[in-house]
Amino acid sequence: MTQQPKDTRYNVLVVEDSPPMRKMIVFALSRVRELQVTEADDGVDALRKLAQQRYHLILTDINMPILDGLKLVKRLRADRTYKETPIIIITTEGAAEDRKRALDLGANAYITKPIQAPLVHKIVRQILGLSLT
Amino acid sequence: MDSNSTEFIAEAQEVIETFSRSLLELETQSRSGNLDPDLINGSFRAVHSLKGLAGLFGATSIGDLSHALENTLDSLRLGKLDVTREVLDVLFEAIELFGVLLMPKEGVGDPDADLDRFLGKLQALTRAAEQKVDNSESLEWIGEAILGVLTEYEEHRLRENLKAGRNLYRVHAAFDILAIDVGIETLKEKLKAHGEVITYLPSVDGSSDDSIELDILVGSDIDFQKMTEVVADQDVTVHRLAPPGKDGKARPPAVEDVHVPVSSSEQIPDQPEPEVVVEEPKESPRPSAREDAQPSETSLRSLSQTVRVDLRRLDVLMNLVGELGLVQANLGGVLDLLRELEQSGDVSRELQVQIRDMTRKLALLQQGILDVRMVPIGQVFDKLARVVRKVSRELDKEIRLMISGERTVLDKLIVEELSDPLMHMIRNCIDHGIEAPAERVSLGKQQVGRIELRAFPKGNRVVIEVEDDGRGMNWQKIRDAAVRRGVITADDAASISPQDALNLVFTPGFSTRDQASTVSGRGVGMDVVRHNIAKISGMIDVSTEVGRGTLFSITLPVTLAIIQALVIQSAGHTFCIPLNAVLESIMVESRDIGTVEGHEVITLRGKTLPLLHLSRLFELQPLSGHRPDPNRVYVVVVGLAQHRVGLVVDELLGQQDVVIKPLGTALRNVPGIAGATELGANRTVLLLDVGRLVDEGAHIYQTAETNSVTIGGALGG
Repeated sequence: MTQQPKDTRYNVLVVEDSPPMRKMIVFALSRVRELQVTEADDGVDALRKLAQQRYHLILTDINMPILDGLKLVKRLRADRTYKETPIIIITTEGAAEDRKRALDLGANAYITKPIQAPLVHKIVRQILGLSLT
Repeated sequence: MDSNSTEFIAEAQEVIETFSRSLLELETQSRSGNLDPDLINGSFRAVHSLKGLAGLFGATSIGDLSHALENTLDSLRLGKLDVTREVLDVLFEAIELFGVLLMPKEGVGDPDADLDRFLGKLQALTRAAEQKVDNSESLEWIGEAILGVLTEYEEHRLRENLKAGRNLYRVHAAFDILAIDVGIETLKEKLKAHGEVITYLPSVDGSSDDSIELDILVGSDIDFQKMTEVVADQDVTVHRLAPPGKDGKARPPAVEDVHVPVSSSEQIPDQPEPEVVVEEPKESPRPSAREDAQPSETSLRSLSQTVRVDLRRLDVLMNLVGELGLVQANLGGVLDLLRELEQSGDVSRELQVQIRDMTRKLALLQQGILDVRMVPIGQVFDKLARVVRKVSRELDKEIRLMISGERTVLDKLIVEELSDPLMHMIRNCIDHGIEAPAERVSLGKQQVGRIELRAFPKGNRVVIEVEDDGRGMNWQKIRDAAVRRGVITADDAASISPQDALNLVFTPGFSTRDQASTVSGRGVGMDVVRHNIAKISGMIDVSTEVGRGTLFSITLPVTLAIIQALVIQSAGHTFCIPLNAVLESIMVESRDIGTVEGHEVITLRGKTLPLLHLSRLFELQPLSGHRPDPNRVYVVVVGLAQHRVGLVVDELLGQQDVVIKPLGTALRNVPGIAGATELGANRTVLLLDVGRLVDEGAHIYQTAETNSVTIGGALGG
């Protein structure tokens, strides 16, 4: 695969209200060279960042204050800019119900906490259509 | 311990403290029967994120405990479980257990077994008490657009609001993208004052690049008219949602709509929001709006708004600022040189202006770094509230704890060191101070004992008081016990003053009870408390009235990192004295100095003051060219509490803020020296340990006064 020039990198937004958890996700994503990762503190911050720049992929936690992940998915699926943008939901292992609802609302995939970096790479690469190397 | 687990522990502790605070508040609310659902939900969220963290760091036992608790809290917030005393007991127990699991003590107990036992108990309780919630009523009239995105909890709250007969409103608001945090917070405060915010729904239509529109679902007792008034100063539209058939109208979901125009005629429609910040500075200064809000609402957000800094890194910064101060002093020297060289004086004047500006900003920088170290004492008070709860249960006493001044700030290091001594004092209060309920009633006192915990700033120090309304302390009994235990002699006892007798409780090994109870513990007495407080340069005083209660008062410096010092010279050597220990400086004619049994003393306002020559004490060789005035000396009167000593010095050089640095091994054990600091021109200067010097003075005083009283017992060593 050819080297991606800098300006054709994929912009990825990570929405997670727990700083250490966010750090881990960003760290896991840092292994995928083609990504330009931005962090959002919560759903509201995500909306703000989504409006300021175009993102190609969104990873979001479900359980967040004010605007939770479900409502964020719902909002993005009805948005002109983001209705097709892939969304990956980050859930805890037991939260099957949350997961199902998020997928019903239009999320594309989910990953479970604790985060396993290789799995995150694989899913992100698959979704963005990058080669799996 | 690696940095990962340090980070986990710090993060987890923060979450647990938040949880604990919410529980205490919940307990208060449960007594009044007026529960804030946000509080339970906040706890649920806190524990939920703790579970996530534990998974992240591989802390299995914390994860298991969080998981189980999360389920219980979920049942609570969904109304499947009531907030009863039993439930609260178990939740409080969980907090203690978190503490044990987080920092297991080597060889003490078996945390895993504790966890298993607790999980069993939690499960049994949950299973026995859980109840079905009636969700049969159709909510179809609200519309799928809203229902489809509600979480189970939000739906439950919606139903609860409807069951309570509240009106349901959809408040539509547009927020400027940059000011949305403040905007939401302001609106939420207004709405919460009149009802419950059930959820925030993002609105799709209308949101543009620079604004975000939200629908806020609110349950409230107030009618439509009133609701529009409540939000009249916000740019929002209020809709009332009502089921068909109610209010005689069959037009679901929106029955009444009104757009509240915020003086819209004056505003440029395209950019209405930035003004919110400007118009309402009182309500929306960003950081403080958060701090002032209830902790239960903001705790999780604050996690993402704060940076955790290792205190050692702040110390490095503090030292740098200190060194910058030295550079600045050197610049002053350069300025003087320049003045001598320069004819016109233009350059030196400009340099002087710049130096002055730098001095001011350095002071601000120093203050800024100090402020970062400051944390509210409330952190400790929360822990103490749990102790009160636990110990009063163990001892079957009823205690009302009253806390004030919990926002008083102190250096983080001091706050950390305070928690053990305060915990011990509180235990003592409950164990020895407060009488059993029956005894209280028979004495005509209120059955419920009262303990007050207060913190307040006093000058540049902070005072913390622990007061109870228990039986008080009898000084004669203390005196007699001290004689029995050989702490003082019978002769000493005969002439001891009531206050000095009281102070004997701070003497090592002292306890007025023959049988130390398990609560206060044997061997750890008030002497340890005093020692720990002295370690952070604090003083403890006690006053008491038999039958009425006891007041312990702790006076502390605000910080240990930097102090104001008096710079003095003795035999050509320079020293610093902590200014807070300096009572006054006087000039004394040599002929006024008398001797009592070979020790020099002066009479100051009718009282004998022992003198200490620093040059003799430290066996200083006078530096060459040093020639003190033989006729007069300076005496710096220093003291702690009522004990004083006069330090004889040659020169008073001035006052200065100094950053204290620890001593190297060579000087660490020299009595009378507390630390070192740097003054200008790379001069290292020693800081005097006033406590030790006063002890020294007291010793002289004792031998000098024929009719001596015991002072040593009440002094710090």
